[in-house]
Amino acid sequence: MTPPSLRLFRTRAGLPALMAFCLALCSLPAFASSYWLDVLCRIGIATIGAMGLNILTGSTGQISLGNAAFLAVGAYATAALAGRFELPFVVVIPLSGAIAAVTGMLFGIPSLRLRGLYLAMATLAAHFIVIFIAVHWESVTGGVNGLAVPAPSLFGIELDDDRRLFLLILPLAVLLLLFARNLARTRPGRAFIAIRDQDIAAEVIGIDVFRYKLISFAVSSFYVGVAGSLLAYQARLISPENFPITLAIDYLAMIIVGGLGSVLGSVLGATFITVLPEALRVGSGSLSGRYPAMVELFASLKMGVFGLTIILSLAFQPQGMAARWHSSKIWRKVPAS
Amino acid sequence: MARLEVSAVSLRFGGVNALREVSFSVADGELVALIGPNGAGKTSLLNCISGVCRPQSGKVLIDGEDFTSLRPHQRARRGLARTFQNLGLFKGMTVLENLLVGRHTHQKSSVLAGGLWFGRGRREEQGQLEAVLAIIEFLELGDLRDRLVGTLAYGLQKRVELGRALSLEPRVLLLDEPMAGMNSGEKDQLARLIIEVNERRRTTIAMIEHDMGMVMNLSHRICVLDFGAKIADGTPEEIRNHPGVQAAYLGQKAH
Ligand SMILES: Nc1ncnc2c1ncn2[C@@H]1O[C@H](COP(=O)(O)OP(=O)(O)OP(=O)(O)O)[C@@H](O)[C@H]1O
Ligand SMILES: [Mg+2]
Repeated sequence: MTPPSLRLFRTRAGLPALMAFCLALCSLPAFASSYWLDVLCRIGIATIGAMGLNILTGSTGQISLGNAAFLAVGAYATAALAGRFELPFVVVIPLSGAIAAVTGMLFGIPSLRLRGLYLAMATLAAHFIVIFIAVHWESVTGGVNGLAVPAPSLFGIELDDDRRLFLLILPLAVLLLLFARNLARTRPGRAFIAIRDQDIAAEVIGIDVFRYKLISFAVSSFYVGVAGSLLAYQARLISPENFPITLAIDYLAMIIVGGLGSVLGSVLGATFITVLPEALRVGSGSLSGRYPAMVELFASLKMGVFGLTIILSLAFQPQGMAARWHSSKIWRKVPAS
Repeated sequence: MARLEVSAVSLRFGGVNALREVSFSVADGELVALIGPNGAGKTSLLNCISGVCRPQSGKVLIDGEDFTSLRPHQRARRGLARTFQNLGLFKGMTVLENLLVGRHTHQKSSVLAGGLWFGRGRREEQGQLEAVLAIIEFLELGDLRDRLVGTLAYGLQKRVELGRALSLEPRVLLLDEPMAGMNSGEKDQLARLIIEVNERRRTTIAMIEHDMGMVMNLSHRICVLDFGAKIADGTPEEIRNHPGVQAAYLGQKAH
């Protein structure tokens, strides 16, 4: 029998649970409002991006503040490939991911020398370089005015609203998550974790640490680039404003709150960080409706509650939501295979 | 030709001479112990052999091949494995996964093969699993297979680390105080396992150990370091009666 750490799902209930969950999600577009469909699509995109960052930061232990930049690279690549060259999305999405992967690998080179906060600073520099290029290379990026992105189409059907787009995002997210889980239980994923836990021992046992750090940057940025590509397809108009440094920090929050190195954690964290501001908006919106004089107060409260929620979730589940989920009693009652 | 040959290796850290022109060799199938007082340079010597440190001068050869300028992972790929004095385990992994990392150099799966799983990735993983399970059984770690290594007692962690090194199927195995922190029962058990690795698997071993009783019983030959220089090299019998060695140890006790 396969040891638990090497299984695709921890328990036998994992696969049916995933299938039921996906089926339920597939049926959502039929009755969700367009507002929540937009949120749903953004959750899917954030999940892919968070999974990517989690491979780099959670599994390999390389802190990166460059993920908004890699999202931008994926998004601009999509705008160029789909807009200027009119390529179909089945080509555009992987190609955008690949372009982001190459960029990520380049900006990962400092990781061969730098660790921790120093690496965070180097990737922060990467962020500002990419945004600088996006603002100033106007002939390609459209500068501050941005670029329009055509709707993705499949056999003549345009995926031009969130309802249809979601049916592209969902399977893509599921495939990329399964890929990430497979990675974690095979040779390359073990090499990542070995580097995170003990880089000298990793090297001594035969792992080319330089090489695997760059591979991790590439794989991670591929995911983030795919997320950027989908973001461009959803937004239909992208400009440097779509990629503020706070977005990079949101992504870090997702993987920390969700669970470092965990696939499930990426999903939970992405969902939580995407839904929280929406829930606060709905909440403060209804309150301001009742007390119109206090609109501004509620707006600023929102940021405070956002921060507070993250701090509390870290205080009470420092291992992330995924760990809490795995150790919850409900879960234990499902028979482990 | 010696299996492992260290010739005139010198290593300095600033003003500290950790190793001064140390030469030493281990024959195929031999089990050699490295001893010496604290700070004598024993770990530094293993660091130079495994590539963790680059000596300022001198050479390291295995089966005649010059290892001196190879990076640590390249040495591992050529059949060199070691354990660490202060443990170098991957804390976020289970016992099994730690040992599987030891198979890294025997595997080929890239990111694509691993991530897609079906086909080569899966076949390869299953082959490695069998190899590693055999070692887990040999080291009597079966019950702990799926435990995170960080949750194990120190002596058990030492054994897991030995298992990880064995998973590499090394030609030369370097052990840095494998028995530190163990009680005498655990030491006896580990000694039995080390002898078995050396005799049955014909693995060449260089081992640092402070427990003199164990060293005298286990090793074919003993090499003594003091203040970074080799002061003696011979059979356990010769070392026991070597005046310089006694002085070095007595000198240390006087501190
Ligand atoms: N990375 C390092 N930087 C600076 N000095 C070092 C370093 N590693 C070792 N040394 C110094 O080199 C000398 C030899 O140390 P080494 O660890 O090789 O001794 P050892 O024989 O293994 O001792 P012990 O029995 O205590 O493990 C010591 O003086 C030590 O302080
Ligand atoms: Mg030492």
